[in-house]
Amino acid sequence: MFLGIDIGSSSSKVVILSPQREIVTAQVVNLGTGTRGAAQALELAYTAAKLQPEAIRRTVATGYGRMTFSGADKQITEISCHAKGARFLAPGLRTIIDVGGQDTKAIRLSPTGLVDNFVMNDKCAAGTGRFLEVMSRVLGCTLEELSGLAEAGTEPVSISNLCTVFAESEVISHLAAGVPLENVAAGAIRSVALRVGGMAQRVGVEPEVGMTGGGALNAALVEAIGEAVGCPLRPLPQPQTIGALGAALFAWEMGRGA
Amino acid sequence: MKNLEVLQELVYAGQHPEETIQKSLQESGKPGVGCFPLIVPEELVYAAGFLPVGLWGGISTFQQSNRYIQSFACSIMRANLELGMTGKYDGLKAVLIPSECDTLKCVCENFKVAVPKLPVIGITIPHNRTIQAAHQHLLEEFDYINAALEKVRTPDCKPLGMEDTFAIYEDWRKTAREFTDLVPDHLNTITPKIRHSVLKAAWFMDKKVYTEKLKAVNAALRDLPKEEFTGTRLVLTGIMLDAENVLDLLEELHVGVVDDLLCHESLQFRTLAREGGSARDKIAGRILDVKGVSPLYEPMKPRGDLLADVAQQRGAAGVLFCLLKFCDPEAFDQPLVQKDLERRGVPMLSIENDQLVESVGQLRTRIQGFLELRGL
Repeated sequence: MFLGIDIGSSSSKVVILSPQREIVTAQVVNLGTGTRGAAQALELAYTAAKLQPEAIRRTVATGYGRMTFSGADKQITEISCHAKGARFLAPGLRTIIDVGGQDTKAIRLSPTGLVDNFVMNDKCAAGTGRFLEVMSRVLGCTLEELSGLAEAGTEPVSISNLCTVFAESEVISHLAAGVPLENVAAGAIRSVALRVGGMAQRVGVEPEVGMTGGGALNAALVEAIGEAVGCPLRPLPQPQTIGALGAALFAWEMGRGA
Repeated sequence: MKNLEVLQELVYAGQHPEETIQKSLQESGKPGVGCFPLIVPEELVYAAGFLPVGLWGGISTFQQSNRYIQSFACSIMRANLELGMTGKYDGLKAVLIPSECDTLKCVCENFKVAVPKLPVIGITIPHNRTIQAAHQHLLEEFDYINAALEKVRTPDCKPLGMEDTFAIYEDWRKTAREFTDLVPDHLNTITPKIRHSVLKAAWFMDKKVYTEKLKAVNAALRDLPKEEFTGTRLVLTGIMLDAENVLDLLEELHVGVVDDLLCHESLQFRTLAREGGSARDKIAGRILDVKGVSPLYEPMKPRGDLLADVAQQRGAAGVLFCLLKFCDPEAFDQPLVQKDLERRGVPMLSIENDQLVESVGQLRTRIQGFLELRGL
């Protein structure tokens, strides 16, 4: 068996692959690096797969917490792992947009699936899951409810500030002016989508485009990013675990001769 | 090996600026004059009998300087102003501030008000450096600097003739170029942090003393066999890469720095002096000839091609563009450099950095990702 673990800033994901590259289990725990998230995700995965840790031949760690995870044979960036995992699920993908808790990345792939280029957010949390978390808190809903709220919006407000802190003030101003919650939520989603879309244009969008990371669980965001990049995004199953899947695939490649 | 002990001495000197400056002032017996970034005619300070001391910031917490400079200004300037206002430069007799970018121009004026007890000697670097008038202008600026230095002169000053001073500085530049030529063959011994510290030490020591020590290091490196380096060879460019944890990160990712076009490092000694003319002419000529310094006007922007040439000459796998946070000239240069390097087939990664980087988590992903996608 081969294990991939993706320890992000706000969640930990584990995928176990069989020697035939079948996904035995994929687990997510909403606790990130520096917490018990990784250990809990591993426990869940072993229990679900009915395996002992000794059954794992190779382990690859990815994500923000990859360097602090002691049980890995190798650490590989989430850029390579998301590319690997997404291409495994959708061999025609040429562009991947990963909206995670702390980082957002746009990754361009070659026709053969190798990473050609990538860009990451580098200034602040705008365009990341953290921005959406802040917005949902201001709007008084959960992150899961934000998508439905935004989809009900008919006239999204403009949120022009790139800075999360200033954008929060802008949202509060809209709410104080009596703008319906739905339109503010739709504006927040559109703001993230435009920022992520701009980043994707920098790397060069090639269809098909797929989305990974926790942000892909937000249907309104997926649709808005599709509009921003000019082509609909291909849905991928369990988008949060695709980095871990890629890590497991790297582990499989390392260990298949072992 | 004894000469590698000298290497450790220079590394220590580069990593402990305050202690090194105090020691240099004490040993030389000369009063100090601070030299701001980026390119200044340091030889004039030395010839006037002072010890030139490089002032390239070094702190990341600012309180008093916020009165004069915005939080979105370059951190080197914020740090220099803060250090001046908090008395850290009190031992100096004056500071020399060039006008190479908008922030430096503002700081030159702000410093006069914020740190009134420390005389400011401004130098205006000509915008169009290719015309004869630029040369003449610089010579007149040198006269002004000499007059200003004369005003702060003390009995401790040990003046030296300009030609002799120029010879000391030429010797330093030649020795530093030899060092950077030797490094690519010894990337296991001269790690990114060691290379940076050795070159940084030059800012805090008497150039004559520093050069003798660096010559000893070069001799030791020449005696060592060439090392096999299995990591990734990169060229750095930017204003500076001084953040210790970023340098540690490069080492962790097994990166070797084979050369640089950093203002803080090789751009200080890379440009050869012109043939003929007096020492003053040559000092001016070098300021007019230096290439690849983003704030200095260059209509054809040769930096990308320069970097590609250096990368190819050194067998580098790519270029790391160290974009100093809030540095507009660097931000303007970055896309042009990227385009030129793409045209020349040299991979480039741009990282935003500061003097002190609190967390390198994202940088690690960025640099490791850059290495991975090239199979490095």
